[in-house]
Amino acid sequence: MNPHHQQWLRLATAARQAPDDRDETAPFGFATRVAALGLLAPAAVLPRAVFEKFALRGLFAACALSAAAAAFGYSAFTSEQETEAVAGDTVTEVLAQS
Amino acid sequence: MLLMADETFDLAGCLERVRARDQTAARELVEHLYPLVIRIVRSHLPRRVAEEDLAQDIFLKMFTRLAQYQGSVPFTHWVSRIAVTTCIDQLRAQKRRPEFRWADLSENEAEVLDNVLSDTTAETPSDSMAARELVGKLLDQLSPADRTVIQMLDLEQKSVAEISALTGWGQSMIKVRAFRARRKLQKLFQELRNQEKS
Repeated sequence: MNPHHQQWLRLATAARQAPDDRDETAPFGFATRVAALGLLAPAAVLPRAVFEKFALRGLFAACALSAAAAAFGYSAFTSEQETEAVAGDTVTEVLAQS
Repeated sequence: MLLMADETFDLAGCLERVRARDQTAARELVEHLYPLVIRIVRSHLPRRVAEEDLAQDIFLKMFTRLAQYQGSVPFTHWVSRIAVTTCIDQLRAQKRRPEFRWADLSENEAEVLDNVLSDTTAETPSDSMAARELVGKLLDQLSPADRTVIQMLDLEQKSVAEISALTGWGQSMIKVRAFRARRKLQKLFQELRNQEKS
């Protein structure tokens, strides 16, 4: 093992042995103050939650748009096809001329 | 201490009441989690930040994000993660790191360091309090993320998997950070040795 790493590990081992007798209970009034502040604070909103909120609306809008596009596009497409079919038929053209 | 208290404390019930905006339950929750949070704060405490202020920040984050807790991990793990990331954010906010010089060490710290640098035996230095102070000063020289990794690996003796769960970093990233931090510590020891000689 690297001698410097050994030195660090010996130091860390010694540091771990240091007693820590500091009080771990909440100071007087801390919990009451933090609880009051915590319940007053507005809930944090995740960026994902914003996306989810608008994603559903976006989906509805996209569905409505595609339905509208299909409806209008289909009628335009079918009328165009009928015109083309009539224009390409030579019998109809001859009959129309006579 | 927290584990003993866990046996009697109804955490699920308390969380339910906190979600219903019960202030007494919120106070009980803070009192119950305080030992866990303050231990994390004390081990990662950034310089010049009062531990109580940092603990308060952590609890406020916990309350504001409570709706996001889905119960996929134990609640104490979830709170620990908030505590660790808050400490790292505080360390990042303190961009300047004090210079580390042999001359700035206390008599006891210098003695411990001298013992570590010169003594080739495997004995650990006897003054553990001075060793802890010295370790804190050495860790101050590392970047916040590297410091956190070394603190958890070498001082708290956590596994890479545990660190990954607490920080959200990948295991390979933790190993890279540990390698980088130890290399920096090695450089620091070298510099100190040179300063001691001069």
